[in-house]
Amino acid sequence: MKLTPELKVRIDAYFNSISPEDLVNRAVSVYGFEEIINVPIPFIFIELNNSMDLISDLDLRSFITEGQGELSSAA
Amino acid sequence: MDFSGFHGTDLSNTLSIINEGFVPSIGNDHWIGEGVYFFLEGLSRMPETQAENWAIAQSWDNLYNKRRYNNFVVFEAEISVIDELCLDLRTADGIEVFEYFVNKFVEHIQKTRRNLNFVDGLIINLARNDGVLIFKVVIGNFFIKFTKERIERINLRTANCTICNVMESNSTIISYKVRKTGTIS
Repeated sequence: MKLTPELKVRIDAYFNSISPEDLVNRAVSVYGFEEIINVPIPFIFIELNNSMDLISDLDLRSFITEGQGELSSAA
Repeated sequence: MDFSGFHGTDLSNTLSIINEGFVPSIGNDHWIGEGVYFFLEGLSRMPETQAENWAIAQSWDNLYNKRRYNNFVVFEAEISVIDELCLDLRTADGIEVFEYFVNKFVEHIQKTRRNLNFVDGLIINLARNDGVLIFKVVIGNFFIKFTKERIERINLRTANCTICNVMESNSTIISYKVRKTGTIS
């Protein structure tokens, strides 16, 4: 089997005929592809100038103070 | 192209294979798709021995820690397929076809925010069963674990076998016969 122009056209036509979402669904449900579910890692974005109360509430002050000394003066 | 292939299995399957033909391996974990697998001469000069070793390795049941069967059979089959209906992953032509399809597939699914984990066999099943790539036989070189490799946990990337997956055995397997039987010690 060779990648002839005709074969390229057939392959391209296949992907043009199916939406990406439908292809994924078909791959998983019909052909047993494993879907990798990405679980977002929770994080907290803290703007230091305005959120020291929040830091305190979350009991993160000691962590920040110990971890990044220059931030302790901002508190 | 015409070539010989060797298929090893439980001896108790002999009569059903002789009377009804080979039963395709079904599932998505197979190396190069669903079908009937044979060891070919290529990377190894002893495909018959590899088929025997495969039957022996497959006899062991890890769950119950015992053999599922104690006797094996090796069949030799004469296989014939025209080049256009053979996806030969040992060649640049075959790899070019396969990579073109895989790249298109990846480009397409990247348009979603979903990720898929997939292997050769899954892509081959999809490409063939959806009628995109039309072939009856796939051939490739792979690393296959026999008894020693499984026990010693040898996981190499260097291929040790040339294997063939026959997807339409009725039209491609010209003849076959029992080549060897034996008892697993």
